[in-house]
Amino acid sequence: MAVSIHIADTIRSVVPALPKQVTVEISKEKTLHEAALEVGVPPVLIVFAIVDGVRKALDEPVGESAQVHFYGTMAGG
Amino acid sequence: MLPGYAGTILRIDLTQDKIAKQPLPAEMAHSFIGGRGFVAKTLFDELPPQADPLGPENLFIAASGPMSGHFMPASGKTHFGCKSPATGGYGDSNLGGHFGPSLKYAGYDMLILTGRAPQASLLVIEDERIALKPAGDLWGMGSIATEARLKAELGDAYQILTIGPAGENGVVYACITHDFGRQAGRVGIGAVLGSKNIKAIAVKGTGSIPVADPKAALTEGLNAFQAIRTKPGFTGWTPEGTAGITDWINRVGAFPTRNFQTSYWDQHTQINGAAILRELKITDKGCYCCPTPCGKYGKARTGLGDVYVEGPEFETISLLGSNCLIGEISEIAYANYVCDELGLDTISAGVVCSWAIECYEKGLLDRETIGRDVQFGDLASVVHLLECISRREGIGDLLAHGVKTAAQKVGQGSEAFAIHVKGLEWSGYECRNAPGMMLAYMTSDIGAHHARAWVLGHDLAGSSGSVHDLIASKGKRERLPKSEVTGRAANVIASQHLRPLFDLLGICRLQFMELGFEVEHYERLFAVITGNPLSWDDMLAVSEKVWHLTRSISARELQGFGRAWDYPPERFMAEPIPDGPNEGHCISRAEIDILLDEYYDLRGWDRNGLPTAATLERCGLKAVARTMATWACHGDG
Repeated sequence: MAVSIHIADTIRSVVPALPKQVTVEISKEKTLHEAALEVGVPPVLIVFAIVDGVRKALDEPVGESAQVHFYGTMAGG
Repeated sequence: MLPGYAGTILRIDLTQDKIAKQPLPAEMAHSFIGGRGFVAKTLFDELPPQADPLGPENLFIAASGPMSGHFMPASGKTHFGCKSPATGGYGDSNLGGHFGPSLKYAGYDMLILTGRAPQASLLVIEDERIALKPAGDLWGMGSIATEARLKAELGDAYQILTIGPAGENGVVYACITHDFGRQAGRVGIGAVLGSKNIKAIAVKGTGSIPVADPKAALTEGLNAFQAIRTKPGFTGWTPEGTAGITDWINRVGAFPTRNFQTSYWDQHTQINGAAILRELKITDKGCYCCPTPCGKYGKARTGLGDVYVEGPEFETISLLGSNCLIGEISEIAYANYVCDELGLDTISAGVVCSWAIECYEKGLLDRETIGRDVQFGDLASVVHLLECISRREGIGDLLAHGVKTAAQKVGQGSEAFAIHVKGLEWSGYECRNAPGMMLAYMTSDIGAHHARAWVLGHDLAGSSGSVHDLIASKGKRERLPKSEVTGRAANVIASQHLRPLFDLLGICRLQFMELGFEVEHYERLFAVITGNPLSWDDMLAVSEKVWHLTRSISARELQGFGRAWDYPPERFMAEPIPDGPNEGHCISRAEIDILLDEYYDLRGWDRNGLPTAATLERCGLKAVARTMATWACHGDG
């Protein structure tokens, strides 16, 4: 299953080698945590993931999602 | 006419009851942009050196930026400045809401108050009409109650700033409140307003602000709003607001807990963003022109009573919550409300309360001194302390001076766990294994504040040769490796220029800094609004200049200011974290020295942490270099 993974600048500023967007083949049983590792995003840097417009926890499966966005470290206001 | 700006500085000498309106100098706008830049420039030029922070000679400054009040996302920020009663050095703080835009619509980019009104007063600004009215009947009222009453009396069109009893009574971490829950919380700006006998400022503006290219500004503004709507992060982030980072901060072992004794708390899921949605929230609440309302207005039900309150934001969750071991979100919200009404900064208040409770546990403060038994995890203990502080009754008179001074007076080793830098209490991130973030706190120009630089991600990425396997999954408490201390300064400095740049422009940083709204929007908007096509790098250069200037102001104001003022509390250097992901870690004094040396060298400061004359001149601060030479307080070289 092809999933488009978008990586926020807050992550890419820490790991500059990461692309802004990458499409990967991934099985729907895999978790978002595993998907992050697959594209080289350190899960520790992910504050939240948005999957097809909905916030998800990293231990949730990728499922049938088409668009995954990983957002990185941020201050709390 | 200066496009983007209202074009006038409003000066009021409260002692003499004199009002002056001065054209905003074009040179000042071009050289310092606005907001925090105007604050720093004015304090350096006009503050009598060695002024008493709570004396009539101190300045109270409110300044908007060139992008405040314009049709673009989140353009509602207002900056406030003074000589800080908390630190004795440079001080500024900002808030959202609607005050700054209204001040500009009334015709003023800046409001500068000097002197002291002869009686408790309300300052009313309605376009060109300025009035100072007796407000003795408001004195003693809470901040929120005062705003509600003034809204009822004057009308909803007025935007209102208020202080609470803490500001009236000179508590050095008293804040300003606006819009029923937005605060300029830090550095004691509320105490400075109180020292001038000003209980509230009400502004109504009905004018407009000149724009260099109105048609293009409208187009760019629309584009910016539409672009934000396409960002998936906003739909994921907005519902919980800043509280949405609570779980992550705990997961990476940076959650201040029990007066910073540790950095991880099992009860974090009871006080996170989801808990706010589940137990408190009634509606979202946003600032002027904000498409991503992070404020959460709700109702807290506790054993002490029910209250309506905006918040708590993450910082409040951290300092009044985990740091005081308050494990129910409704109880944190109640303490948040008490702080708002009394006019106390929730960050400093949380640190002071947790320090006092630890002193009690250790037998350094007794029941008679405090007025009751106090303990971690007890809302009534925290509320008792907050009320005493705001009235300066009993133990409150000691605690009203801030944790640094209180610890100096109590002694007996309590200084080691008084968590502050330069006298400003530490905000919501534990950093014993985050050396870059530690350095950011140490070198923040107002004291230990997170909003000047944010490099926690770089710390995490640098804590291992391979960052991919640091934490296996959510909820697991695996130990993080120790972070390296070398190579941290460059990111801290870059962040110290980037984040405060938004404070020059008069806009909120959250959309860009946290959620990836593109910098190109800001460049285009700045150009079409002001007619001045500064690049982002040009603006960052101004931000760097302001950083050197604020450091110079503190060097002028504080006897012996320098390196010694940049060290973190002893606890962080002597007590390894007892549990959680960073178990066993602390940072040594030798490592702190490595951080500081690297930072000063990259900054162009001497090893005592003072800007050299060459650095000041390189940044266009020749006059500052000359003045500092007369005070013999800038660095060599």
